[in-house]
Amino acid sequence: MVLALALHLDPVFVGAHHVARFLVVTFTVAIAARRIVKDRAAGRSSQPQ
Amino acid sequence: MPPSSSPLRTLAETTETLIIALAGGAAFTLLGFPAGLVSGSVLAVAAAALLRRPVRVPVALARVCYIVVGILLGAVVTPQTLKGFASWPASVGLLVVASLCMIVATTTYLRVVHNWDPLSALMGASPGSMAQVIALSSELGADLRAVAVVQTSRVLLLATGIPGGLALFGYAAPALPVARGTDPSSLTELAIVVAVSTATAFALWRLRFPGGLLFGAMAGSSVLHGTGLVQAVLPWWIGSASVVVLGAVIGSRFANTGFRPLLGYLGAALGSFAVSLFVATAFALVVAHFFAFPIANVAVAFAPAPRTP
Repeated sequence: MVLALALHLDPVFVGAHHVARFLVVTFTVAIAARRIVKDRAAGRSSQPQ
Repeated sequence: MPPSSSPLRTLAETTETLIIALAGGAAFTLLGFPAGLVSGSVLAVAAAALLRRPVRVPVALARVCYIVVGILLGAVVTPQTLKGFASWPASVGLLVVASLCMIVATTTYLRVVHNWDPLSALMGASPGSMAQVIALSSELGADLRAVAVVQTSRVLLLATGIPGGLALFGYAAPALPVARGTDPSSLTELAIVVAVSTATAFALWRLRFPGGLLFGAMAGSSVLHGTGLVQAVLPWWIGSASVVVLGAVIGSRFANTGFRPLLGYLGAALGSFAVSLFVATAFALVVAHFFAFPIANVAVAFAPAPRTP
């Protein structure tokens, strides 16, 4: 968005795209991270002592 | 009690760290770097850490800044941007697909070529919010130094490369300083935004949602702004101060880091940047070919930059 403003581009066009990506990536990464952490914890607990 | 843990020493070290971060952020901003506050503060504090200065940021201060940054990020969602989703559904849809492809391709690259663990690779690959990535990495135990180098390098490469590249091909006017208008927001609206966003932040934090403080604040703020219930935004200096503090949090992770691992991180940064740029360019070319949008708009919209407030 800063680049869009600085370069005299259409802020609504760029903003709509960035917000869409931001929301999708934020949700995806949060869910994927949670899954990775769970898998990691499950892997540790299943290792023989 | 050892002197290293005395409150006075903690205060002195925190003050020194924040002064260094502010100097770095101000210098990069004055030099005209977009996202200069975060990039400059990260690099300045990281340099101080590499030079063995005792840099630190208290956890409580960082948490407050997560909430502030979440409120700022949520303010990006406006009724106009929500209308934009409906105006350009095909290109927005392609951007969403491109983002997911970028995450998969870059994560795979960092895993296979640089042997990163899955969580750090995912965080390094995320083209979403840098603040969210830092919060999640810190909370879930990813390699924060590696993630910070990759994400900061990506911001710097795009911030300098996009304006230069567009100007080179005659697609955009030279960059101008961004005006920071005074904000006429009412105190009542501000109080509502802060109260609601703080409540949602603590709710998600208590539910142990990853990055709950930042994500919860963002959710509360984006609902209020997206529905048009409020237009208030935090004063720019509060947002800037929070960004500088988060930059200091990232930079302070470079304490006790040698130069050799740093070079390895830079290799991963350049390689992962090339991968994400390749994917973004492929999708941007498709959009530019099939739709009559100006090239410069498409290039900036599809740039794989992490969001930095």
